[in-house]
Amino acid sequence: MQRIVAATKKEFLQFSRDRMLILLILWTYTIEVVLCTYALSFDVTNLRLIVYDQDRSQTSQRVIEKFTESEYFGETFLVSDPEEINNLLDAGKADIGIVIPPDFSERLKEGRTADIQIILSGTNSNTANIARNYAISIINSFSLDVIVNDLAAEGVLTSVPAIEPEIRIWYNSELEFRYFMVISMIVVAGVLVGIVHIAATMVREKETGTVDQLIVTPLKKYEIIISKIVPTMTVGLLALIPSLLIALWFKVPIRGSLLLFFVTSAVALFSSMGIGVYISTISGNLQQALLIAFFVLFPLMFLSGTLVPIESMPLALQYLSYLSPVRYYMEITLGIFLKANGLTILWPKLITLFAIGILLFSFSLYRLGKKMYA
Amino acid sequence: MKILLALIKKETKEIIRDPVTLGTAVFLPLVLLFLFGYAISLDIDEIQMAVYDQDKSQDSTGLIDAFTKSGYFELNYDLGSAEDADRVLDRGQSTIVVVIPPDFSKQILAGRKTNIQLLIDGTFSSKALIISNYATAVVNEYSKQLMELNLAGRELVLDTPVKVVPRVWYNPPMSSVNYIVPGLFAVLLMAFPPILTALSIVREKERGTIEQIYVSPIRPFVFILGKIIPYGAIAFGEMLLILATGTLWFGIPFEGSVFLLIAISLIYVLCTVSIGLFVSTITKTQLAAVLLSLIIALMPSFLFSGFLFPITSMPYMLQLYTYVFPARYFNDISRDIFLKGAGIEYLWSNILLLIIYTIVLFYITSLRFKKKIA
Amino acid sequence: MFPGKPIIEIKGLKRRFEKNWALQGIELQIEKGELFGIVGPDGSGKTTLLQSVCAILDPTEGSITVNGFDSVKDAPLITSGLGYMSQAYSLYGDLTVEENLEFFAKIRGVPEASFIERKKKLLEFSDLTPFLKRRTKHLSGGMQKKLALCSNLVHEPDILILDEPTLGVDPISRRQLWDIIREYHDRGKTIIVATSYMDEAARCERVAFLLEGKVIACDVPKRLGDRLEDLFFTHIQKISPAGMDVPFLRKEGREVLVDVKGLVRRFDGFTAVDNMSFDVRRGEIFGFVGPNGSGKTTTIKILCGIIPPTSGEVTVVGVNVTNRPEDVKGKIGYMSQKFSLYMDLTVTENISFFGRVYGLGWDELTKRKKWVLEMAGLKEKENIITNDLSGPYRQRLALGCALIHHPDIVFLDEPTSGVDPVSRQSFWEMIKSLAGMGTSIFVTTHYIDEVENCDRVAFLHRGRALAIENPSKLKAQYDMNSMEDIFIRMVRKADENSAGFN
Repeated sequence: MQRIVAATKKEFLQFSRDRMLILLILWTYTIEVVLCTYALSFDVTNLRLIVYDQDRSQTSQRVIEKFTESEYFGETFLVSDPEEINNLLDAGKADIGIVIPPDFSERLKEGRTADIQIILSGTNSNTANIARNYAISIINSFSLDVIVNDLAAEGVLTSVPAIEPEIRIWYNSELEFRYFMVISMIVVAGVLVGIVHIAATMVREKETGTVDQLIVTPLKKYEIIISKIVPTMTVGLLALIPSLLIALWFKVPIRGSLLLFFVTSAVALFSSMGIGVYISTISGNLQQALLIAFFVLFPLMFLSGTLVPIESMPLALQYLSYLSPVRYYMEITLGIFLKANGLTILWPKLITLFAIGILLFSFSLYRLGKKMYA
Repeated sequence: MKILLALIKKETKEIIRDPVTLGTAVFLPLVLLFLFGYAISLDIDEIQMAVYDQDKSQDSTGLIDAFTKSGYFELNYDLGSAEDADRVLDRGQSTIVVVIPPDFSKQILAGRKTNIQLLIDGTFSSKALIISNYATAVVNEYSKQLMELNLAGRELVLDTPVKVVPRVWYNPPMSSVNYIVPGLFAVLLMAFPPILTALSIVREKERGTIEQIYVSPIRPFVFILGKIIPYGAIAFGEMLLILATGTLWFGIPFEGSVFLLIAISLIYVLCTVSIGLFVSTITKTQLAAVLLSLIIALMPSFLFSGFLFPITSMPYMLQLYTYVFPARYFNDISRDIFLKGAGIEYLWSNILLLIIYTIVLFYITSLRFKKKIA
Repeated sequence: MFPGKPIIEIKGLKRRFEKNWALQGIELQIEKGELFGIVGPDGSGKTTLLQSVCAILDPTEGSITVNGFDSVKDAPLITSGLGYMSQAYSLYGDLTVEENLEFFAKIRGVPEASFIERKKKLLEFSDLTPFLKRRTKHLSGGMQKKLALCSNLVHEPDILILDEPTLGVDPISRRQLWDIIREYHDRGKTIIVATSYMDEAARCERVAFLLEGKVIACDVPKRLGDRLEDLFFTHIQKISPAGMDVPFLRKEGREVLVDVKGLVRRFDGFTAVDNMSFDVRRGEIFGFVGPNGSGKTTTIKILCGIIPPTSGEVTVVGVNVTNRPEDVKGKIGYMSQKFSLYMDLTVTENISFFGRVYGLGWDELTKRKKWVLEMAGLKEKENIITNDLSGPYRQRLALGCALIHHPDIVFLDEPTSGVDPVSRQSFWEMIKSLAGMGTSIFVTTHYIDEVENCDRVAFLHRGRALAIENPSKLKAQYDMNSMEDIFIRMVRKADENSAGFN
């Protein structure tokens, strides 16, 4: 015990001397979280609209109003030449164009079907997809208005069946992307610190040659590793406090138990450190360790539903994501924050997360043993 | 000129004799290209759906069939109570629950309006938004069918008054891959060239070989050129490799001029290498160089270039911030050339910005690179 | 005695790094064609002075002119006529010997014809011809220094500046390096050389003694004579340790502490240690001598249980290291090659860490910490970050940390490399008194002159021990006075024998 305490104290002291590392950790837990939460969102708003109205009737005006009144569309260009639609879309100055045919109101009056063309630039498939959906639903709702008016005129309205979907979004009724983003960034920061910090401190011993000195002391292998885990763990958990404040500032609801969140974070840090220690066993110097850490981290983030939905990945990658500790950390944290999930629901994920950590550590210890002998 | 050749020769030999670095430069961008090309997508299918059908009639099963047949939804739970709905959402087993009321078919038969509930897990808001759009479309379509059926029974034919004719330009299938891969070029080139270039100078500083350069008659800009050319060549080779792989493997349509894209890539490559050089003039250790390249090159090109997150949805200040990073320009250019076949007449402003950026960076770096120790 | 205008003029030169003044007002004039020595202990400002003369470091105050050019304004004009061999490893490790030479010639604009001629001459002179195609990172330290010197001579500069060119170099290479310097000087070139060897200082035409950033004396070595050595020693004395004689270190007996029989260690087909057998008794200083790659460090790592042997029997303080490597730890002390202390911790923090890890209680630790601080001469510097200490202090602190648990035997791996000769000498005094009190010392070194301090010495060559004997007995046996000559004789004989087998 005395040995572990002494070794841990040493690690803490070394950590406190490394200003660069402290800055990096603070940066990822605070500025990075704020910046990303502010800036990044998949929500598509302020779509720039081009209107080519060949009908210029009251009816067509009603269609256009439906668009401009919607919260999704912003700036509107009124054009009188189809060429202009091309130009605006080509130059990337607008996102969507609608073309109303000259006989639009006439056809509607006669009870015939009229076509409205929408033109999209598919370069950003995500934006285009969403824009198309918005446009279709606006036009459909206009169409429904027309039917209702017609049927009312014919006096059959009261006996037509219709299903109205009543949508309830749970846990995040405003569909705030920020909630998700803050949580995602906190999770990523935790994993980043867990992997990089411990890998760096392990490799540093190797680079400076102190590792030999350490081996000849009576310190056992597991004691060395524990002494490396404790400071990273402490710092990783402490750094959660400023990011929780940021979460509060963005009004992210914290509906579940904070204690459970900290426990989960500890387990997730532990698993990430497993990856970090493993990286340190396969790299000879700091440069290699950093490069490897960094290229493990990126795919890990993507496979784990922190930025893009897991459901949208190919099946093979979806299965692969079950191996990623980040996936469990992310799901548990979302569960605690937004769904008020308790241990009764989360325990299988928590255990899996821990098991991954144990597995990684056993593997690294085995590798370390081969290299360090003793 | 002779000096420049000698510098390039030396640098090339060093690179070739360090297989780890060379491997990293060539192999890892390809791995990332594949991973991201497949993993990053916002097209969602296989949405896990639970149903609480209190009606159990032909009409209600018809509605459920309409969901599963749409290709987006997969029925995974048939619930027996309202509490079960809570349970599956809480545990994240299903992301949407369709609740059909007990009098569903009765109301339809009576030709009345009836409500169904769609409960959607909103933790990942973008995903929830897409799901709610899909679900609404399914319900509306089914509702229309019922309406038509009902009217047909009364020998009335319902014409849809307004039909939407969507036309998607540039990327008609609206596939994510077509959108992601051309953007990836901008990101991947920000990953390795800056780090490798920065390390190559900082390593000379750490090892002390730089002092020999200081006391030699080499002029600063010649020394810098001696770094830019070999590392630029590697980066350019990397660019061609991912370009070829991206286009051929993922079958990305290539609308524009290959020559133009390659010419602009060359400028962009010089720009990324210059960033690395700039980093090397303000850092002294390899750790600091890697971290700084990460913070000023890779992270922003990933998050703030419009690669994944639409710039138009960012707050205005942060939209300005995106102009600081050259990946933004190249991202636009690459997508425009690939998907729109845009020519120089549309791209000149972005190209000009990229050129100015590179020249300014090169100039600052040459100024900052003094042949003095401190 | 030197007619004409001085080629280098230094006026009121001061240089500050953050808060510390490295140079505090230097006045020097160096004549054309002079061989000028700069002497001083570690941290006295030698390197800063040389870098300022090379015009790669601007003065904080004062000025330097070289050939009439100002070092700040006309730096490119100065550097183009200069050769500078820094203390750092200044070669490209992944390039071969030939490629390095070619690179340095090209960036200096040496014409092809003269390059070929000079290359041939330089390589012959430095004995590097057989290694032309070898990558420089695989050369020994001495060869690297020779190549670095050649790289700076290939453009035949008028002024040659050398920063401790022979530090950490084996005696044979040291001799060759000086031959090259001499020959170049005879051609009328100006040479400035920083050194901490007294005998090298004596070879210079004029010597400046630097201390804490000031020139204390500057004269012809003969005239400085003994004063030079006195200066050196009085300065060193200030940081010299108090006696090692402390009661709690005393141990009695003459039993065998290390017993090695038929030790072999292979790495991927390469035999690093080849059938080695020896023993070490209590209170003995046992030396392991040989060039880089002769198996010194490998053997020490096996004895300490850091790496396992391929075969053979190794017993250390009664523990079979092959079977129970864990049990030997805690009973031995070990000081690895680079004085492995934690550079970002303070002096006290390092001592406490090692003390506690070795299981010392707080009271005991306080007592021993006081002793270590006293021994290392660090009494007032206990809260300094280790990285800011100069070499000799670090060396003694590392020794203190290795001794903190009072082991029966301490293993020192090249404890004196990179430390100036005077500090080396005082370090050996400490070792001797330690051994006198009954702690065994197992020490490796590549300074052959140091072996005279050992009770017994093993000469290593390609993983084999050529001889294990008392140094005086060896001298008598070979009837030679220099250990170096004896070693060379033994190596030649061994090589002849193995050639005979082939």
